[in-house]
Amino acid sequence: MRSEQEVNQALTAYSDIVRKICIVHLKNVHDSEDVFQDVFVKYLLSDKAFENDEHEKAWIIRVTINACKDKIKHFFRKKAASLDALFIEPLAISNENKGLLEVILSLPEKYRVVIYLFYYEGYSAIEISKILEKKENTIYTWLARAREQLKEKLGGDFLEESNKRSFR
Amino acid sequence: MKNQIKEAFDSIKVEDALIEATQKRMRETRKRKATKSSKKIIVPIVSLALVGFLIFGSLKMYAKETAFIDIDVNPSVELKVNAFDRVVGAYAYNKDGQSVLKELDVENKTYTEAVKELIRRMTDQGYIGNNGLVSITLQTNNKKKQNSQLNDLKDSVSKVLTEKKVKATEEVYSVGHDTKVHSHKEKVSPAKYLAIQELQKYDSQATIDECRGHSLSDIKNQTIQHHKDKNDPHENKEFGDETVEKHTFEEQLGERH
Repeated sequence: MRSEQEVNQALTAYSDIVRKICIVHLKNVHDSEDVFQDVFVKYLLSDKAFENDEHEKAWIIRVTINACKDKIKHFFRKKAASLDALFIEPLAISNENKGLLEVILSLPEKYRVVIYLFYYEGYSAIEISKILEKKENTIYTWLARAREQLKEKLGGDFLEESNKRSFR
Repeated sequence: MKNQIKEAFDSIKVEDALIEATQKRMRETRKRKATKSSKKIIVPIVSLALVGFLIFGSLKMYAKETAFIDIDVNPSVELKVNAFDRVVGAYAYNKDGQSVLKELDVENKTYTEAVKELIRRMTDQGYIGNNGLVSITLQTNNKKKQNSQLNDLKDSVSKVLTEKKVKATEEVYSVGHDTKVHSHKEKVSPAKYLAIQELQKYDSQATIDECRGHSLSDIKNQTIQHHKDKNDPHENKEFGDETVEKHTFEEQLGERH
């Protein structure tokens, strides 16, 4: 079991990431709260030694994604709600960003997560393939399809810059 | 695009209420885990104590004697036997017994093996010869096993005597608890104790202290002699009842062979 200090440090460092992944995967606030707490309790009870901060962060992301997937599988999972209903407190967000988030969250789950990991966390396709335990080509395919769908929903020039980057 | 997505996700911040709820849950988990850990310590300790108790109990049960086998030739030896028919102790009543036991390790052997080894040793050392006497008594509270144990003892003695080609008299019988207790108190074997009692019927001057150092067959022969004298007083005229009575028991028995 980890010390209180270790857990508080992790909570400070990773709480936003865990919360974002919960939002990406889950569509109601209660499930998000459950998963959020489960991840940090798992961290508290884990004796895993991390090589560095990046290793620890990747572990937290992996555990959060798995916990979300488990929650989705749960038969009694609460019904999905709107974006506003995903937060305990009202979200301070511009209409533009809110619209973008709603579009991203409307994508299939696998596309949502690769968009988040690639564009927000800045992981490469290889790194994402390791985190999600999928083949690298699968990640490229998911990213391409996710961009296609975003393009359809948001307009043609939205992804131009990122497309160039990912296929360079 | 990248910046827009980043900006959109940046808007998502964890709520203070969620952090507080998580910290509370972790405190509870830590507390519960600590209780479990102490239980984890207690359970092995209790289990260990139980195992220790069982081992101790088993050893105590193993070491507890339930039967006493006394072999009296001239060497007088007692074997303490447990409920599993294993020898858990051996005691010599006299020096000859000590010398026989000194060279043998009979503990943890079955009582039949131990008796065979003792009889072999006594035969090899010349204590048992033709016309000798091997007396074995058994004292046990387990009446169900008594007969089978007596038979096993008879078989064991017979086998060794046959093996050694010695024609000696064997007597194997059971004695009561009181006889065993009294004989132990007098530091003689039950067979010798009974033989002395028999002798004392004819010779009131014979004492246990006087008889202790003599062989069982000597004591028995003396009793037989008294019996003969009593039934046919003229047969040994040279001694006569009066004369015999005046002799000490030591003189009657002569030097120990």
